[in-house]
Amino acid sequence: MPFSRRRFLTGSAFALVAAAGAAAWKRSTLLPWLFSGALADAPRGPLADSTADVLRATVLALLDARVEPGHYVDCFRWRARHVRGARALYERFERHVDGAARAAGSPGFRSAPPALQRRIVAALAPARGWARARRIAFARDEARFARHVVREVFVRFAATDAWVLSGYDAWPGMPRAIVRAAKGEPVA
Amino acid sequence: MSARRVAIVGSGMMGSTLAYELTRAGLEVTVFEKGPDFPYPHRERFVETVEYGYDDPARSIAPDLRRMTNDGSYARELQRESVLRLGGAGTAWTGLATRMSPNDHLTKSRYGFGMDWPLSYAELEPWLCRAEAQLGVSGTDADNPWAPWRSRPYPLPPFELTPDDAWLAARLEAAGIRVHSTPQARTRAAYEGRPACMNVGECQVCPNGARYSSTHHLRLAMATGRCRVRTDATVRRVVTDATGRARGVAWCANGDGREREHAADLVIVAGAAFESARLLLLSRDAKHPDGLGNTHGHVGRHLVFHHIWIGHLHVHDALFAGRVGFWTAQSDQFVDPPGRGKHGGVKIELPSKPSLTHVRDAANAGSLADALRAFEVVKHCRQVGMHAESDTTGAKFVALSKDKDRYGDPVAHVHYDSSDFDRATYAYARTLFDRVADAAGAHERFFPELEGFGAFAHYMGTHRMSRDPKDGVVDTFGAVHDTPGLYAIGLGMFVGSGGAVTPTLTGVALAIRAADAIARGARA
Repeated sequence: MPFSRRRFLTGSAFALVAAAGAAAWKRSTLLPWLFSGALADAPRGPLADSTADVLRATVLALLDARVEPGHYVDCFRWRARHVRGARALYERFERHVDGAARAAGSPGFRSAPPALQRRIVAALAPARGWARARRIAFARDEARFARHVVREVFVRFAATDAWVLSGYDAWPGMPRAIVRAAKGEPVA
Repeated sequence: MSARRVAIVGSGMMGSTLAYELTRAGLEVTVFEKGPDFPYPHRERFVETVEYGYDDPARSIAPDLRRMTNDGSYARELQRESVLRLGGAGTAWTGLATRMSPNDHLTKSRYGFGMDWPLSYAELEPWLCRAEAQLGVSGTDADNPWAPWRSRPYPLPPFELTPDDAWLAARLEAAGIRVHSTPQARTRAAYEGRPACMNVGECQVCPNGARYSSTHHLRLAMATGRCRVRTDATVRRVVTDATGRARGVAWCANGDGREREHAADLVIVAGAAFESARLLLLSRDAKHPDGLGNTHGHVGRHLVFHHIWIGHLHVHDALFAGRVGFWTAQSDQFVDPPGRGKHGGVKIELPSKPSLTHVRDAANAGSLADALRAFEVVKHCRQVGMHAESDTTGAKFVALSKDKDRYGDPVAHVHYDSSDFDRATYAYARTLFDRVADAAGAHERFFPELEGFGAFAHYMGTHRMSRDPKDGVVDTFGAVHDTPGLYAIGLGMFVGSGGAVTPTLTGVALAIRAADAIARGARA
């Protein structure tokens, strides 16, 4: 059966899209994008106090009161000012957790009981396997919250407070006294 | 002919050194750097990466311009290792500044492998002193019985061993392994405009210049008013005239892609070993149909890496590795061992750092309890590295790839297969690691497989030195044998791996020596 002009054009378009998809796949741009939870592009700018307060409460909910949350919030504020898409994500995060708190009968996340705060942020912890696939397919913002808020808190924790809580005087990156250290005395 | 205008391709450790020395001698220098600007001191970078854990893409070169291909047994992607930005790898190194020993220059005649250097340790020694003065090296040989002789003391006193290094040194001493201080281009005291080290423990991204960065001297060169730096500028080839003499470079601004020519009396190719070889191969002309410097087919052929295996061990005592910044001890006891020739020499490196795997586990935890559990082992473990020399074979080389960059030029392709010599060196390094672990009383140990080594930018030999043009690409001053007006200076000049020690100091010494010769020629 001879090809009509329409079928030829449709077939060509499909072939073109398939070839472009295969090329993108081969160049490994599509796959990482799908799974990375990369930030959507949006303007940089200062974080509103309400958003910073929600992030502060999130840090305490994840790490409990043994850490001073100030430097985690500094980190979120810095990213909001310097990284495209970060501020918008933190604002959506604020709306998301406030919505979850209200759904549970609390006026908002910041004023929610600690147990509820912990439950809300625990639901946003990085996921694996099917749970991760579900997020990527149906709840991309949740995947972004997991990566850019919840995981970020643990990354900063591993780079900072975890050292002190396990017995170090200070974490790497802080100036420390060399001579006292050589004598085995406290360095910070 | 008097050379006044010099084009330098590459702004890394050697390119910056050359720019500084040549502008000081009154020459006009233009430095071409493929990567972006990278402000110095690297405070901003420190804040981004250490304080806020952010790797700013604006500080990285576009993927197609950093692209290279590699195959063979080297397990890592080399294109991820290259540091393409103003100052190159000299902005991101650990600062270890060790000297090759006299025997490292004579591996063929002493041990039957590789080729002897056309330059002896005694000939190079005065420039090693100058290199140490330039980098501001803190160190002492008083505790190191294997240190090669020197004519001048280190410019700065050494750093004390960290408590965990001292703990390990005592145990290794009892087991017959001597640990000593390590020379490092990190300021034990304020030095020539650089502050004393404050021990932030993140040497690879030092915020204040205490750890030497190549951009320190590049800035000084620019301050003379005789050094112009072009960042985001890709040099596509060296331009030669009808006589085959280098007359400049053809380059493109990465933003617009329009090719321009820059005229110069001398051209110095001073990139990393892969990129320098690639540029020589790309720069074909009627007199050099296989590329500049390649009349005898040596460009790219004698590539060699250092093979650096980083293991870690766990002990019952709390060591708190990483408590103090971060590189104070090593052992040169095995860099020139009795069996050398059957296998390579090995330097024992003792970075005072815990195993980063456990730090990462804590970062990947989903709860505080998991994070603390993962972190509990951190204070009980530390890294131990084996830094080994290697040999050259036909299975280690750089050529042009089938892949191309945005300008249509082939990118570098590296083929690297470990040799029997490397396998024997691995077995030797593994034995040493086990001796260290046993002496430390380690209840758990990890050492990588043969191909689990990293080269960490120690790439050498792609345009090696020779006295006879038939044996190499450049003379001992970096002048390309078959192309007047062209120099290729950097770790690519090395003949073999230069022993088991960190190559940077020797590379800087070679660059200063070459700059002296070029300046003398210009004055003549």
